[in-house]
Amino acid sequence: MSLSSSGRAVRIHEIAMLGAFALFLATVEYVIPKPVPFMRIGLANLPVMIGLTFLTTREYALLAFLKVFGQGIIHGTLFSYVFLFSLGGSAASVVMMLIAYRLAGRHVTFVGIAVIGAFASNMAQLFLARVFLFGEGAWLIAPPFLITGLITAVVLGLFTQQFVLSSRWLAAKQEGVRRD
Amino acid sequence: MTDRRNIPLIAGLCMLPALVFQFDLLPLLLQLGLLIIIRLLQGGRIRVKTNLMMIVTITAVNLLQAHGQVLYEIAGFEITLGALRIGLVRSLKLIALIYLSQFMISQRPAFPGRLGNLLSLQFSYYEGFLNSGLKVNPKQFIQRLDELLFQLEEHRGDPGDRFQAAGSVGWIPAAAAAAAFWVICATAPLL
Repeated sequence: MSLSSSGRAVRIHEIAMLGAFALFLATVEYVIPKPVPFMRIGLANLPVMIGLTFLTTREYALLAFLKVFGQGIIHGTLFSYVFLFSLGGSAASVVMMLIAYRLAGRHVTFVGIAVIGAFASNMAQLFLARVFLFGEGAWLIAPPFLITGLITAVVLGLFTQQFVLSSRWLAAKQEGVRRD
Repeated sequence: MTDRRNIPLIAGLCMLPALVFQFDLLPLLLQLGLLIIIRLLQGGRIRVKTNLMMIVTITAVNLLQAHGQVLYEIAGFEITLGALRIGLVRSLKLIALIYLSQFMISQRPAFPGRLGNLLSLQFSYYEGFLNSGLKVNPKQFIQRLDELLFQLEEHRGDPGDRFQAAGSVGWIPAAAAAAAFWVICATAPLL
């Protein structure tokens, strides 16, 4: 797909906006009290899943980078292990969600895509936790970590499905992509 | 990299190896103490409860792998000195790294090039989201979100960085903090 320079500028704004939306949701998640410090809901993945529907692979990778890097800056974790966890988890989930959507988009709902992404992200983070924090004990926290990840992914997937079906903004973006 | 906003970033990069390669508990505690002082001087908050939960969780998981001298035995479960030490070092290092990272980006460092511009644009929109007063009301959330996305798109602001950074840090205090960090590291064997 080749875009005109004005089309490219519009697309850059859309990516930046989705990246900002991810930061906003990450901030919302940051202030939600959680029973354990490492539990995450993954709200910031909503714009990433929305991006699946109209961004190219390259643009999608850029959005994922903006999400991770922006979160690192906003939360001040850019130069800590936490950033590594975020980067590893996001990279794994983004790759798996992209593959699932491109290969079986019509046959998989966003609930399925969210579950695939969450599982990939959690496995990557468990591996990093084993290396940097918990040692072999990391596998002991794997069951509750994966189960909570599964539950939050289902909820997020349902919400994304609803958003994709009813959003006029997203419909306009998809229409713009078809015209280009 | 002569931008004043990048001073904490440069100082932090100098401090980073002294922290990452610190495996002794007492020097690590001193380094963490120094970072907490810096954070407070910059007007930041210290989340005591969150930090304590991190220490307890990480240490508890590490205790599951017995290592070294047995200190106590509770209902057949051995608490070992080696595992306790490893757990404390790992958790304290994680907390220290978070504070160091917060110091490094406390003045919103200026990232160069197209990527820097894109990040500025992202933060400009982020500010739009923050100022929107969007409420997480499940009933009309999608509709409101939709309206907000249209609204933000209409008002594509200038991509200038409008974030309020923490208190300014000069070269001298930044260099002093980095030097103190390395002094703690160098004197670790004496502590």
